[in-house]
Amino acid sequence: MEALHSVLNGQTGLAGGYLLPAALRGPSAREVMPPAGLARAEAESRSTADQAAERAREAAGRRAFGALQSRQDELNALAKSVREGTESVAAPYVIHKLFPPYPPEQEARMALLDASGGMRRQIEKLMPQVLSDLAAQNAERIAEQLAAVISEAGGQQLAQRSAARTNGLTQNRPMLELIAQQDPVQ
Amino acid sequence: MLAMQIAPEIQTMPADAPHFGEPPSGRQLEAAVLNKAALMLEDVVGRWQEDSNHAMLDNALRYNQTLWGVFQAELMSQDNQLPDALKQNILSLSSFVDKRTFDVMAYPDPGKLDILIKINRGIAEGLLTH
Repeated sequence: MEALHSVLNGQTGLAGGYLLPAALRGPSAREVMPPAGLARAEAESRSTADQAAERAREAAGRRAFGALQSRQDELNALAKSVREGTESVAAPYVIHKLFPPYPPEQEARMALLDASGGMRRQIEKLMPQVLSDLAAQNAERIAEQLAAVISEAGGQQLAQRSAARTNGLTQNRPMLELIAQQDPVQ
Repeated sequence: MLAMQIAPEIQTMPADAPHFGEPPSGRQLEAAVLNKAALMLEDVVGRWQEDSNHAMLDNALRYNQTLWGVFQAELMSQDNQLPDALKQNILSLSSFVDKRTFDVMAYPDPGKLDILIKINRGIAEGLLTH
């Protein structure tokens, strides 16, 4: 009797008493819902899960983008302060004439070398420029490679990937649309 | 050298232009935004003398930064399925764009913008070629 009771309560792992006669067990989901309705419900369930995953992905994208923008804002502020500092100390050139032989402890010459127009500063200023030019050449080469990859065979590969819904470099179409509509004040 | 011959209608097409019929594909949208950023940077170069307080420069750089920020954020995504080589290239370019942006913002020089314009134009062209 106790065993029958547990079966009726669905506690035996027999899915709510499928072994019982139809008169004793309640209607199953298949009986309540026609197959077409069940398929629709399953599709809706999948769709809801997809939407939830999409929302989570977009939220993660927004967080990552927000963190990047914060870092960029900090760097921009630093760059502007460097620019303002450089422009504020820009003084008209003064010509100093010093002729060899230079005494080793000549203060005027030492001060000149240490000044913003000194040789050391000039060299330091030139060095990043050389490195910057090399970096630019390298970046140009990479951009060429990237353009080639995404244009032909790469484009076909991207098109085949269902995950790349935009079929481009990013899945974040809402953000791109936002940027496209942005009208920067000039 | 990056090929710079881009169809005039694409080169001048604003990214926020109204679209009739089907909406632009992801690639078209990306290309349009890259081109818009390139146009803004070109405008800064062309009007360099007018932009004495660098307001135009800052705006154009910020716009370009925002665009590249989207690409960078994409690389951080767990479910990003771009091929590794492509990811690596985008990461390298993003890093370069960041550094060049800082450089030109701190030490303004119109010549430093050329490479940013070339990169955007080149990638936009690649996106539209397919």
